[in-house]
Amino acid sequence: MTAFLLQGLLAAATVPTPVTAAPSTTLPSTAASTGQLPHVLLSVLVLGPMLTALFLAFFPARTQEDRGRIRLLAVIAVLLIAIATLWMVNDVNSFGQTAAYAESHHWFTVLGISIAYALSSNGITTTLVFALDFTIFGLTFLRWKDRDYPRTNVTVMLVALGALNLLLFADDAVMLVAGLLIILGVTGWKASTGHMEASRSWVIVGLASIIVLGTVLSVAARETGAGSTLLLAPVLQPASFTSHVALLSRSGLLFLVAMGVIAMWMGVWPFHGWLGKLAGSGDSLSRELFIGLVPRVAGYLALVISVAVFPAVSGQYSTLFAILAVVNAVWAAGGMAGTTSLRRFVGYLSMAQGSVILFVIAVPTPLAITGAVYALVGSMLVTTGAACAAAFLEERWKDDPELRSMGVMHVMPRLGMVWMVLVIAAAGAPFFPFFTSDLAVVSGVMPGHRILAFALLASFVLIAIALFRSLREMLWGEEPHDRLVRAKDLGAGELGALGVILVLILLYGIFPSHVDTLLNSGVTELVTHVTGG
Amino acid sequence: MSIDVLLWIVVALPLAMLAISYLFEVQRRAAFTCILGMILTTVGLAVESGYWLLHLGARPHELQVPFLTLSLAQSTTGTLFAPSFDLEFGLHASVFSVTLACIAVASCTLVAWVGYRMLRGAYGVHRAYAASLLMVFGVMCACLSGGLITTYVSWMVIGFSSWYLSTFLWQQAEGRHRAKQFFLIDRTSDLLLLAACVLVFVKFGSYISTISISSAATSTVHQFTYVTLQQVIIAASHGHVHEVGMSLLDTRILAVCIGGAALLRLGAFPFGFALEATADSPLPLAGISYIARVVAASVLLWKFMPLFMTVQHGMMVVFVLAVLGVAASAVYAWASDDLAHVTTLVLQGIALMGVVFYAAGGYVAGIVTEVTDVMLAAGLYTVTAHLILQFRSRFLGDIQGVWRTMPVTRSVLIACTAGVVGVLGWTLEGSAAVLWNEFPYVSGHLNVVLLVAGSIIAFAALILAGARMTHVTARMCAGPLPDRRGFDARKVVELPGSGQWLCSIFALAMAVWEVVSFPPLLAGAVHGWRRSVYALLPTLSLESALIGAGILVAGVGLAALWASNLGAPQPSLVGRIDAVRQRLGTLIVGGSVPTARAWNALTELLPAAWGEFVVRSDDHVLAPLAAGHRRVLHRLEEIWHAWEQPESALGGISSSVMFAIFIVVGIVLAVWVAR
Repeated sequence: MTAFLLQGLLAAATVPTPVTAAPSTTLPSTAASTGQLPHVLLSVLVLGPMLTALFLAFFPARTQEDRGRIRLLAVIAVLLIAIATLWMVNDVNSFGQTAAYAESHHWFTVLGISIAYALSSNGITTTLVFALDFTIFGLTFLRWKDRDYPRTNVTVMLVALGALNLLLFADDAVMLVAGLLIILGVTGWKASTGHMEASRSWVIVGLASIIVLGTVLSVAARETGAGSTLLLAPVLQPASFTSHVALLSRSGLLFLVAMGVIAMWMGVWPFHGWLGKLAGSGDSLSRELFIGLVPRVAGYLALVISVAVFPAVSGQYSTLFAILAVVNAVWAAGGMAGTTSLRRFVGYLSMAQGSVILFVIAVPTPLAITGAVYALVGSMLVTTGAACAAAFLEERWKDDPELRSMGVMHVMPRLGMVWMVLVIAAAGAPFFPFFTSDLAVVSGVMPGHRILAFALLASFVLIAIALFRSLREMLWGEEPHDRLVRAKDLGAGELGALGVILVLILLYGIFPSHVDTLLNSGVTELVTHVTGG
Repeated sequence: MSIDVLLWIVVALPLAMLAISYLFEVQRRAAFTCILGMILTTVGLAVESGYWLLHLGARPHELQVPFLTLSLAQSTTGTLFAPSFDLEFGLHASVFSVTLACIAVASCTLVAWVGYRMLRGAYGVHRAYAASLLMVFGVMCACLSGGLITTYVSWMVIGFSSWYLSTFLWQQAEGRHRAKQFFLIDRTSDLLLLAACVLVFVKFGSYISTISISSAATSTVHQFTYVTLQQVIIAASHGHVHEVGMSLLDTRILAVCIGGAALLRLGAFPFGFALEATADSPLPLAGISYIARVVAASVLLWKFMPLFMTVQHGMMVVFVLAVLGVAASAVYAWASDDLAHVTTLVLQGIALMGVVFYAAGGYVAGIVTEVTDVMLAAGLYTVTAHLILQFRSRFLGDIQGVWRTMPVTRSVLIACTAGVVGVLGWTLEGSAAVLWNEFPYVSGHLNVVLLVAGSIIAFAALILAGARMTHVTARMCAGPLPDRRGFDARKVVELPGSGQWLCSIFALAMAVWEVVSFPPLLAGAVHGWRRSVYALLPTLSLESALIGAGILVAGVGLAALWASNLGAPQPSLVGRIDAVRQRLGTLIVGGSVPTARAWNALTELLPAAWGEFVVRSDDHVLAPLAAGHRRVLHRLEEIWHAWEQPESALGGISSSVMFAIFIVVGIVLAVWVAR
């Protein structure tokens, strides 16, 4: 009942905005064909969690009963959001490319630039949103055990969910920046409640990056002549920036600045410093969001901006990005192998996942982009799962766990098995998501940079070695560490929450072909910008 | 139910049983579920194999399950690469591949079944059995693989299972060290195969078209006829290798990647420790790891042999590496006094001999060698594990008196040893055949010299390995039970009941296999294949016998000399080399102790022999040489006494005589069948 009320409220909130079809013929709206709900579905996915968070923020949380009510409502809300994404996936999968959603209309004009309330989804974003929302459902479910501050945590989680959905659906530079700002504000505020030092540098760098990115995209919007509105996916044509091919052209510099900012959000070398700090001193919720989810969404933005906004310019820096990808992977593997902090280990794991995206930016073939999306989904699930498992261990350890002769298997075999599955998945074993993505990416980029692609393959081996080192140090040992002697294994609730992520990992690994229709349409649309349609 | 559906069920069965095993918290039930999975898989494959033999014959089936299919946008620019992307889990089932899978899985099942009685008390045994079941899945996929994706999946599964199996000993530093070694070598091997897969995809535009490459080989091999070098080249030239128009560089890179991946997994020189390390995994399950690795690597080499044919010097490189591997295995086997290591090294020598045959164009000779090696591994690992468990020691000096106390164990042990030695019979024949048949097609004097010299060296090394196995068997059988501190002779028991029957039956089956392992010879005679070397064997037999006898004498002498240096202190040079090698992570040279001992033997042997003539004084430089020489004589005396003890049940039948008998019988049998 509450859910329907919420949906009604959300629908009412967006009704005043007349929904129109997208202007491009390549991304039609389904408003006329599939009933009323699709009209506002994207808005529901974006605004629903935020409004729910606002709603819950005013709930009393004095007694356990009050807190239990907040937890229950949050879980129900996120579950409904996840089910709505399932609806969207099913719809898009059934109707193919023509069933993509779009909502767009004029919002306001400033300095000659028309700002639009523009949301759209394609096969890629639908796939990512599906994985993202179910992952956050698992994370929200984890808050069930939070007896002290559930209101703060679920509010942060819900706002972050809405903001991440907004980043994936945004067709307008201002909305893109708005999404980043919400993410930054929420998590920065949350992190600063107990970890001021870590959050301060993050907030400063994040704000600067948002300003720079907004400027770059605005300039790009004017340069392309696509009107004053920057609709990333449907409007930009391959003609944009294609005449500027010199390495140090204005468009080239804009491209590099934009990618530098995105690289910071992705947490890849050499902009990975904040990731280590946040991983080392942030709380578990911040880590799960910023290590597991935000870099993946940033990776998608990097793909879109490089392929759709700078289709010709990005090719000029192909070798640079390929080298960066390899260096990033080696750096992350070295970090994973060298650190004794489990938190930092997970941070480096997140950093390592960015290499694939960097290499695909270097060689954006359709196959490589498809593999990159698989990699994004896989790393979203695996890294978030690893961050959760590390948080569970941290609870028992009472501090940042020291990655050295823990002997977890002696006392916590369930946690050990979960970690083992995550490591095996991250190493690219068959029937896990990275198996498909690695094959697709390497096959796709090989014609572009053969030697560097081999180097990337070799770096996968280094990463795998570092991953399996964690098994040796964490799971094995002649006896359990003193701090873990009396530790309890994962309970049913913890296992259930992690189970959502593990099941998704297995489903994506065993049945990758179930999303290929989705991906084909999205990739085709994205690549159109490069190939000229 | 169609035969194809049954095959899919059989392939999926190990994974299903693996999942079921994790539902049980009791170790015993989980392990039993895994064993049941292996048994059912064996039965299913046996039914499949029988049906293929009786009804389908040599007609191969291609079975594909789409894993991921993407129809990607075509690029309009020249720099982008946009083919369709097909990932398919494909099987290429033929009478040969199904039978090979059946033999391999049956061997694994025997080891698992008998081994459970030995390991059931160990903590975490269910995990080791889960790894074993996964390995069965991998080895089955390797045999039946119909494309590169299936091959790569099986490759990764076997590598991961090897690592996982070694973690059975995760409480011990030794287990963790071995796990690291496995992981390093297997991930490197995976990387090479992945690179090869991607390169094929880039050139062929699809992963599944590589079936054509393997089909070029299988379509000729499954007829069970001897394939000449020329025929394979012709087959390859009609396949996709030339049609696609791969450049010479690409072809070479592909050959290096695939050859490197296979040889790494097979433990070929200089990566000898990869297979040897299996000996330190929990016995007898190490046998499953060994079988899976050998089968997977052999199948990969065999399927891609046409590719190597098209690469200039490609076959010769594989040939030389395999010959060196056989030689190194034999030397290490003589240098080691650890029973599990000796067993593994001897078996490894035979497996690499199969690769020698592959590389020289002798497909069927190679396959028969590999299959025999797999069966021998099942028997030897089971018996070795039992002996090590009963005598609570891996060192040969601590194990004796088997003949009197363990009749079934000794029978299986001797049958397997006879099998090892029996391989020499048709190995000699095969070597001669390959040499004779390939001469007209080998160009260049260097290649001819390499082919002849390599074959002789490999055969001599195999004689050394056979002699070592015979020596070890005789030494363990002889004498009474040891009387050492901490060992209670009253606790020594025979193999478990069902294990006795199974091992006996398996030994019998192996003996039958050995006897009938001349199908190429028969095929050559029946089909009147004029170029078949087996028809020409009578011409060659005298010469081959003379060469073999000469090598035999030299080999036994050398082996005795090497054995004489066992246990000698390491000179400083060896210590330094070993330290450097340890620092390099044992990636380059090989296993730690055996390598050190082999270096020890090599560095001491020549000065010792030379010292006999030059030592005349107490010169401080020459004194160590004289000491080395005295050790040689002393050790020879020890060995002689050990073999010829009056109370030994073997009595006057020394292992040398037994060895010679096997050689003579093998040659006579070969000549008889050829005529």
